[in-house]
Amino acid sequence: MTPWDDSEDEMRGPFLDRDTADRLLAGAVEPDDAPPGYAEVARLLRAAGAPPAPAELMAEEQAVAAAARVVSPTTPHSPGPSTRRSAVRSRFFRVKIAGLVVAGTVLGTSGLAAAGVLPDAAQNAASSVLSSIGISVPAADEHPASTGTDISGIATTTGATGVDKGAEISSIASGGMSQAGVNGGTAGTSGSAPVTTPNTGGTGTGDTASGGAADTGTATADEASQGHSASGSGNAAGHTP
Amino acid sequence: MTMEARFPTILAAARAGAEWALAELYRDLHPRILRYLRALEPSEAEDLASEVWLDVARGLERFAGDDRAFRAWAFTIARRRLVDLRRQRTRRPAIPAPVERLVERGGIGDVEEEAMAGLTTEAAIARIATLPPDQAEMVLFRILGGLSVREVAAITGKRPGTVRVLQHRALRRLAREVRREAVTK
Repeated sequence: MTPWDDSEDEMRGPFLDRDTADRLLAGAVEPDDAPPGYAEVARLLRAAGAPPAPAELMAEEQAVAAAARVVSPTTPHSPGPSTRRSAVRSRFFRVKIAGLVVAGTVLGTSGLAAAGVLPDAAQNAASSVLSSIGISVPAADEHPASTGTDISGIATTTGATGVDKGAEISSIASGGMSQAGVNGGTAGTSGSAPVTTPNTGGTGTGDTASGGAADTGTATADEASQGHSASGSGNAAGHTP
Repeated sequence: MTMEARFPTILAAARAGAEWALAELYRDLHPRILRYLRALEPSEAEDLASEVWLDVARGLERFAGDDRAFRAWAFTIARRRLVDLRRQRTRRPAIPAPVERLVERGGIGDVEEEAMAGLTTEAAIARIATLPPDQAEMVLFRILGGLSVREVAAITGKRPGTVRVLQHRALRRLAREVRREAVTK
């Protein structure tokens, strides 16, 4: 029986097993070796997959040049896209890191300068530079607080007592910003401290007025004097009438 | 050395913009893509193939795989281009007669004559193009791309079993048509 004897085969085409189909589609079947009815199909498929004809590669030169531009738009012959992008990325990161370093330095210096803890020369330089960009920080001679040793010395040697002593120490510790003792003094004179601003001995008020600088100074004084300084606030409280 | 063995070197050089490597890729890829597009969209095949080539060049850096995967990827791009084109002109009817168009272009002579004299590639592609489009596509991917059923399934989004059925129908249909022509001569 030939493949064409069956009317159904004539409608659907000659029988073809799966492996032969795969080999035909891989161009691996010679027409003479093809199963019955498939010699022409084998020839056709081999022709379809034949090596390129010159006409199909006529535009090669232009196509390759265009591709080279697409792959490497700025430098067509050397570094490829990954290298170029890496270089761009590298430059970008260098700029970014430099920016971060500058920003960090400015902020760090500003912070230290604002705290007034830089050495005098640096403090003055920072004060000058930062003031030019609108940031106000104290110069070296404008430290808001003296050292703990200075304050301790005053706390243990001052002749003032009570509120006056607390006020004096708070004032030094806060660079003159403390208003400590003002109310305390009033209380001492009149014996009736204002209810709205209870005076607990200078440091509280001094601390508020000095934005925390008084507290720093007091604590440092206490530490520097190894406990001999009861700090301005303690003395002030102890001697408040 | 085969393309398969040299492919990693060629790909790396092409990514770096080396024209010799791009030329090798073009010679290997472009005729395959062009034949596929000529079968399915003969009037736009040249332009589409050029666009596909540039898409491939743009995507070289992202591509990872061997030469088979590279061809499969390029065919995926070509197929997508084809789908986009057809979407853009939905008002126009499909183009069902690539054989006639090829003859009109003067690229080949009478298809029957070509068949008698020794089948040319263009005539063979034109013959495959007479198949229903889904069957033609299966045959073209396999014979032009050297791709497996599984790879064709991945490109077309069909199941491997469906690909097998379509390719089987395509081959039997081709055999049937060839025989009919032989009988009517």
